Amino acid sequence: MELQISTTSMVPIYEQIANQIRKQIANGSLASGELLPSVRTCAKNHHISALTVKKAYDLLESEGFVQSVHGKGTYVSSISPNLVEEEMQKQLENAFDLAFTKAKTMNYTRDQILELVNTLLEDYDA
Amino acid sequence: MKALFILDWQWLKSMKFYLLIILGLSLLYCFVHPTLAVVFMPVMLAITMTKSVSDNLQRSTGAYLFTLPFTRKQYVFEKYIISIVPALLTSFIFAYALGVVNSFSKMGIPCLIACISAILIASLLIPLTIKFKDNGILVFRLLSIAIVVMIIVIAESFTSPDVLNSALFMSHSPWIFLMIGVALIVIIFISMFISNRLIQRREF
Amino acid sequence: MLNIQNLKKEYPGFSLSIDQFHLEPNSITGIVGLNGAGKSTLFKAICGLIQINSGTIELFGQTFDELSKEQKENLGVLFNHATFSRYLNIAHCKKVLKAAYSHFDEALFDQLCKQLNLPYDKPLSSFSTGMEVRFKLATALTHEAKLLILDEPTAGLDIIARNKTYECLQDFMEKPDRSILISSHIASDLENLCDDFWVIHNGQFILHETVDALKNQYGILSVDAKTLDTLDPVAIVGIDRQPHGIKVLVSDRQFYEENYPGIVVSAGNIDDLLTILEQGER
Repeated sequence: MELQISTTSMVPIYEQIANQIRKQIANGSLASGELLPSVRTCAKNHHISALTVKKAYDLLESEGFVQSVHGKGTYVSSISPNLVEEEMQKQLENAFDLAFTKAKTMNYTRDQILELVNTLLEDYDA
Repeated sequence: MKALFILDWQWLKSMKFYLLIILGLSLLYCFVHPTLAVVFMPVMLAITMTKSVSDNLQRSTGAYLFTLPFTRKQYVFEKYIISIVPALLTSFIFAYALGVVNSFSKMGIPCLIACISAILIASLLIPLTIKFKDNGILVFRLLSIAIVVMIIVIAESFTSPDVLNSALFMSHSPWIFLMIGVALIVIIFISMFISNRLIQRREF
Repeated sequence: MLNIQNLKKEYPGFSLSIDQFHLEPNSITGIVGLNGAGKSTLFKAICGLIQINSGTIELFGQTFDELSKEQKENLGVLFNHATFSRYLNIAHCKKVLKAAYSHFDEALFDQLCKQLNLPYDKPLSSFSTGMEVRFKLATALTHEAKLLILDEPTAGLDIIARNKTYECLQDFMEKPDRSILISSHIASDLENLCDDFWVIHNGQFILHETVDALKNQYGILSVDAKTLDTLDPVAIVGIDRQPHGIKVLVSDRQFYEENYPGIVVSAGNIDDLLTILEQGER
């Protein structure tokens, strides 16, 4: 399992790991029932704390993407790639929801929100 | 504890040059002054082995050594064994070899003196070395050699060693040896007890 | 695994005072602090090499002196100033280790020495600092110890050698119920290896955190005096005022990112944390 981790990014490392694993499950590089590397092996390969890896694995387990078996390791759940897409979409919707709630507390109108979104999207495309 | 023996064996090998000199001198004495030869090597061995204690207790080795899986008691015990047993064996070997050449009766007393000296020296120097490391121990070592040499000279100044030998062996024969043996064992035990107390308090 | 309560050790001019410390199984814990903060003294106390004035130190539930030979075999130690006598070579040391430890893993030892480029027939006195520390690591890792106590295990090592060391240590941790206690002041030791760390300063622990929290929640704010006054102190851990700017260590950088937009924030890291805690106010 390959991971690309940025230690300088402000995105917490456990989130980076979880994101990449979710993506790999979604595009099939990680198959159902496949055994993920042990927490220690992952920590060793990427020079990070084992607790960080464990946090990522725990998060994925709470979302249903993986299952950990005591004494054996962590396995990818028998989850179809579609379900993964669905789950990730749900998370994206939640993120938007949070942003809209905040905008509301700042009394943004609909148009103002759209204008903001367009401005940000320009940077995004670039 | 086997590990300690291996370490001391290697330590001894690192003192090769020094040991060869002592051996050389002993062999010289064999021809020149046999009774001194019987005493010299064992006593020097006892003194030398106690130096291994001060080397062990150096800051650069002691801290690691005492985290190895043996107790400090075992360490002390092993030191007494290597300081006394080789010395005793050496004195028997020399006494026997020279006895064959000269005469056994002449070697009796020197052999006895060698054994007693080795035990006393070990019992004295080991606790001292533990307490004081190397400071001033050199003085004690030289003192020990001087005292032993003096005893030999005194013993020899008795007109006829043969007479003295047979007198000693005949008259109170077993009892004197028994008493001496018991006294030595008691001395060893007291010394070991003191050494154990001292080494428990040793800091690195 | 290791439990310390109310430890006190007095030296003229310095005293070590630890209220409580515990090391759990399956964790790599770092003790970090400046030189002279008391790391080595603490390790010596744990290993029974110095007498303590008061308090208890328990390894596997017992004091060091009470440890049986079998329990002592569960301990692997690396001190940066002490090792085998220097006239010995690795072949000799291997014989000693084999005789001393009933679970000595000869094959692993040979493999590690090969991996770390250590010659068997040269005396230890001819080793460079880096070689010596790698050798000490090999001796600590190869007798199935449950607890490793390593005092500055990467001293004198370049980055490649350090990474190799971390890999060896993580490999060691693959077996369950093992722990490692490391003392260091090198950032990568803590950030790339440890699970959690304790900061020691003048003989006392002043902070205990996980490395994960340090990197993902802690932050360093760079502010001027005016902004400093406006900051909510709820998550401020330390402030270091320097003529060229003020650095603030916070335990929740997201809070400040959200409530003080535009503020300069960087992720928490050991070097800055230590500097702020040492030089600044807490």
